[in-house]
Amino acid sequence: MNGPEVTLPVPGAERPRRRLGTRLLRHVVLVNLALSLLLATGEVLLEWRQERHALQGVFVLVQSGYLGPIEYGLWNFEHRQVQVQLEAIRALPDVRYAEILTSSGEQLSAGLPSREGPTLEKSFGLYREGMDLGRLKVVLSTEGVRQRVLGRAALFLGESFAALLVLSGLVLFLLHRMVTRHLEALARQARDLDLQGLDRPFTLQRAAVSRRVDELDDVVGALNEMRISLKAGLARQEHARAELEIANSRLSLAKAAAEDADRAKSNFLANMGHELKTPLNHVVLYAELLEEELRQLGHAELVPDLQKIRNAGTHLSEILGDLLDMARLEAGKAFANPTRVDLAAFLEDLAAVARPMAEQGGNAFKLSADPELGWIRMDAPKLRQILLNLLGNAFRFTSRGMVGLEVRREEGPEGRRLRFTVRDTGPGISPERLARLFIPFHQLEQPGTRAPGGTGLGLPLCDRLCRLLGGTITVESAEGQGSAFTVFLPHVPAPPESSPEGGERRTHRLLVVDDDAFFREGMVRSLDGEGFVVESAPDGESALLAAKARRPDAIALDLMMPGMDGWDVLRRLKADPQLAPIPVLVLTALDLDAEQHLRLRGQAEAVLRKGLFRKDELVRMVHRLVLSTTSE
Amino acid sequence: MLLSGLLPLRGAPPRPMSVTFLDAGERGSAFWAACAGTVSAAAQDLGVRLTLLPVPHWPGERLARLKRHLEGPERPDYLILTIHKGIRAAELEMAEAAGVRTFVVNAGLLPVDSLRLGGPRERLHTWIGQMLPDEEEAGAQLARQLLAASRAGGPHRQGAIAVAGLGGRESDLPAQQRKAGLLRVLSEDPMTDLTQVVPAHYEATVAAEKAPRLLRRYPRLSVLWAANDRMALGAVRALQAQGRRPGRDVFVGGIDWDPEALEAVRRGELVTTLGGHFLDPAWALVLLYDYHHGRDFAGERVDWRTRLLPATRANLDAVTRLVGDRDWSRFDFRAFSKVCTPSLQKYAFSVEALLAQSRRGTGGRP
Repeated sequence: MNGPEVTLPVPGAERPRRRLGTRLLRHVVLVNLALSLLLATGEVLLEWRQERHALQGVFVLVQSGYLGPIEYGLWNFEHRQVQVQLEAIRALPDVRYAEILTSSGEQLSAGLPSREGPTLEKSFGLYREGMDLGRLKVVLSTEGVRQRVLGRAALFLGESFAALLVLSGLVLFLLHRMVTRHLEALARQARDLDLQGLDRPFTLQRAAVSRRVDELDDVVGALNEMRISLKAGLARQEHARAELEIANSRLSLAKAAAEDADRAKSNFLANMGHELKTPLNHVVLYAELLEEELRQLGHAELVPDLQKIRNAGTHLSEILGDLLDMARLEAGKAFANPTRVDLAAFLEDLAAVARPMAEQGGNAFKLSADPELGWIRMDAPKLRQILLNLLGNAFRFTSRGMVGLEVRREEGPEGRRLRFTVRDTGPGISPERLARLFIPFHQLEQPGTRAPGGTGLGLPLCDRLCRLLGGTITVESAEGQGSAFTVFLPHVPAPPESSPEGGERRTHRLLVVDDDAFFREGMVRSLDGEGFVVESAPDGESALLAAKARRPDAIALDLMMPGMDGWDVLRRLKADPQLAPIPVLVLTALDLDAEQHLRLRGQAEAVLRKGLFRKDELVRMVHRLVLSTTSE
Repeated sequence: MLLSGLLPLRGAPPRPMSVTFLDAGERGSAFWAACAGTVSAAAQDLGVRLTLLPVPHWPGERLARLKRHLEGPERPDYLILTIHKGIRAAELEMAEAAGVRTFVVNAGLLPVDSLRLGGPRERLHTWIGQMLPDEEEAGAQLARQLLAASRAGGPHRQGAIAVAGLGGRESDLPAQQRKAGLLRVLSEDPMTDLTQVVPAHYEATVAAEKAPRLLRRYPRLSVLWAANDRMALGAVRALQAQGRRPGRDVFVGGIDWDPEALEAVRRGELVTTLGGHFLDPAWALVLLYDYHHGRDFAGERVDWRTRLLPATRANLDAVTRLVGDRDWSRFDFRAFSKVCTPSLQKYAFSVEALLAQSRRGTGGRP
C-alpha cells in the first residue's frame, strides 16, 4: 500500500487478554455477591428469630429457676436473698435490668433501668400462699442480639467472599487452561490464515491422551470445514470470474454492435425521411409546375393526370410523415413540449385551416368552444396534429354533411380537463371496425370505399399522441349515424401573456429538495420553461441555506432523505418566520397514513405521491401555490 | 482400767468425783454465764470437782481440745456437754472411746444421728443420760401467754387473733420444735389465725427488718411470737420506731430470759419471756452425783425434759433476781439429790422450786 501506513484493527490483537475469564469472573462474583447477600439476609433473619427465641428462653429460665426462690424470699422477707436472686438474673445474658416492686410498695432492683436502645421486657407476678407479693420485671437488651446477629452475618459474608475468591481463582485458572488459551491459539491461527495457507489445518495444542472430544474440537472441526469449503469456494469463484470475463467481453462487443445498429437505424430513419421527402417534394412541386404550364399551353386534357401524380405524391408524403412520427413514438423518442397557449386563438387558427378542407367536400364546419378558455399549457403542435388528423378523417368520410369541433372545459375524475369532440354526419363505423380502430396499420378503408388522403396510421397516431400529452381518446359511432371522436386532455391553466407586471412573462423560483439526483434532474427538466426557474438541493441542510439565500416562491420537498429528513426541514422552515410563508409541496414516495397527513396539515401546502402524478398536475399545483402566495 | 472405768462405782469414792462441763457459751452470753454459774454452785454444794472447759468455736479446734483433755491428767469421770451442730456425735464417740461417761444437756443429737446412735444408753455405753429443754412445750407456752395477753388487751380485739411468728434457723431442731409448739396451740384454738412464721435466724436485726413488713402485710396482726428474745427485742424496737406500741396493740414475746428481755417485760413491751433451762447443767450434775453414788437416775428416766418458766410481770422480780444477781451459792442443790435428800422419792427439777428456796430465804449454805 502506498502513502501513510494504515493499521487496520485486528480483532483480538490489542484488546485485554482473558476477556472471557474476566467476564465469567464478573458474572460469578456478581451472582455470588447477590446470592451471598440473599443468604446473609436469610441468615440474619433466621438468627434474629433464634436469638429472639433465646431471649424468650431467658424469661423461661427466670420463670423456672428464679421465680420460686424470689417468691420464697419475699414471702419470708428475705430481701437480701431476693436481691441476690435479682443480681443473678441481672447476670444472665442480655439481661439489662431486673426489678421487683412488692405489694407493700418496696422496690428492689439490679442493673440500670435505662431505656436506651431496643429492649424486651416481661413482668412476672409473684405469689405465695395465694398472696400477691408483687411483680418482677425483667428487661432484656436486644442490642447484644443485634451485635451477635450482625457479627455472624459479617462472618458469613466474609467466609463467602473468601470462598468466592479461591473458587474464582480456580475457575479462572481452569478456564484459561481448558478453554481460553486454546481459543487464543485458534484466533492466532485464524489471523495468520491467508489464501496460501488454506492447506494448513487448525489444530489444538493439547495432550491427546485420555481426552474426550469436546466443544473445542467441534470448533476446530468447524473451522477446518470452513477452511476447506473456503478453498473450494475460492476455486469456484476463480473459475466463475474467468467465465464472467469472457461473457463480459462478448457482451461489450454485442452492446457496441447494438449501439451501432441503433445509431444506424436512427440515422436511417432521419436520412430516409429526408431522402424520401426531398424527391417526393420535388415530384409534387414539379407536378404543380407542369400542371401550370400545361394549362397555359392549352393542354388541359393532361391536367387530370398530373393532378393524380401530385395527389399521390402528397399522400405518399403524408404517409411518410405519419410513419416517421409513429416510429418516433413507438421508440419513445417523442416528448411533449408544452408551452403557454392562448386556446381561443389556437382554435381560430385551426378553424381557418379546416374551413377550406370542409368546402372541398361540400361540408359545413362548425367550431363550438367555451368562451374564456384562456391560456393553457399545452404542446400546441401535437394537439394541432391530433385535431387536424381527426378533422381530416371527418371531412374525408363525409360529403355534403356537417363536421363540428366542440371544445369544453369540464371536471373529470382526475381534475379539470379539456374535452375536444370532432363530430361528423358521415357513414359511421361498424362495431367490428371500431374495436381495431386504434391499432396501427388496420385501415378503416376497405377496397372500393376508400376515400383519398388516408394513411391508415392517423388514428393510432392520435391515440399515441393523446397519451403522450397525458390524455385519452375515445370514439362513439354507429353505422349511418356518423361518428364522434373525443379527446380528453388535462387542463393546465397558464397565466395570460399580458401579466399585471407590464405584460412581462413572470418567472417563479422553485426550489426542489430531493436526495435522488435523477428525480431532481427530471423536475428541473420538466418545470424549466413552464414559467419556473428551478433550483435544486440534495439535502436538508443545503435546502435551508438555499431557501434563506434565495427566498424561492415555492419549495418541492422530498420527505425521505438521509440526515436531516423532509419532516425536519419542514419543521425548521415553518419555525423561521421569514421562511414560513413559502409554500411547500411535499413530494413523497411514501404511502402516508392518516396521522402523517395530519402532521403535514398546516405545515405543507400540498402533497403529491411520487410516481402517481403527471407533470402537468405538478405544474398546475406549483402554479396554484405560487399564485396563492403572490396574490396575497 | 477401761472396764473398771465403765463400771458404776459403789460405796464411798476414794476421791471426789470429777466432772467436766464443756463451756461452749459465747463470750458475753447471759445464758451461758448462768449455765456455768449454776453448775458451779451445784458442784460446790455436792462436793464435785468440776472443770469448766471453755472450747473454741471451730469444731476441729474444739475436738482437739477435748481430746487433749480426755487423754490428759485431768481426765474427768463424767462429761456434761451440748451437742454442737457442726460436731454432732463426734464428742460423744470420743468420750466413748476414752471411757468417760457423758451427759448431754441443752441441745441433743440431730435426728439423723439419733437414728444412728439412738438415745442415751442405747448404742453408746458411756452416754448415760440427757436433759433437754422441752422446746415444743416452750413454744406452746409462749403462744398461750401471748394469746391470753391479746385477749386481755382490750375489747377492740374481736374475731380470730392474727398471729405471726419469727422463727429461728429453719434447720435448727429446737427452732423447729418451738415452732411446732406454736402451731399445736394455734391448731387447738379456733379463734386464732396464723398468718405466717418467717425465719429470722435468731437475729435481732433480721427480726427488726421483718417485723414491720409482717405488720404491713398483715395489718390485723396482734400477736408476734418470737423463737428467742433477741428476735423479740429486735421486733419490738422496729415496731416502736414505726410508731407501734408493743404490749398495747401488738403482743410480742420470746424465750431465753435475756436480761434485756426481762427489762422489756417490766416495761410491758414484751408480754413474756420463757427461760430457766440454764439450770439443766446443774440438774445434770445432781443426777450424775446420785449416779456416782449408787443411785442411778435410770430408775426414773435417762432422757429428761425440762419445762421453761414464763417470766411475766407477776414473777418478774424473782426471776430477775435469780438471773441477775449471779449469787448461785445461796441455792441448795443438795435438796434435789436423792443421795443427799433420801426422803426425795422423785426428782423435782424446776425453777419454781429454786425460786421457792429463794423466797424462803433458805438459799445458801449454813
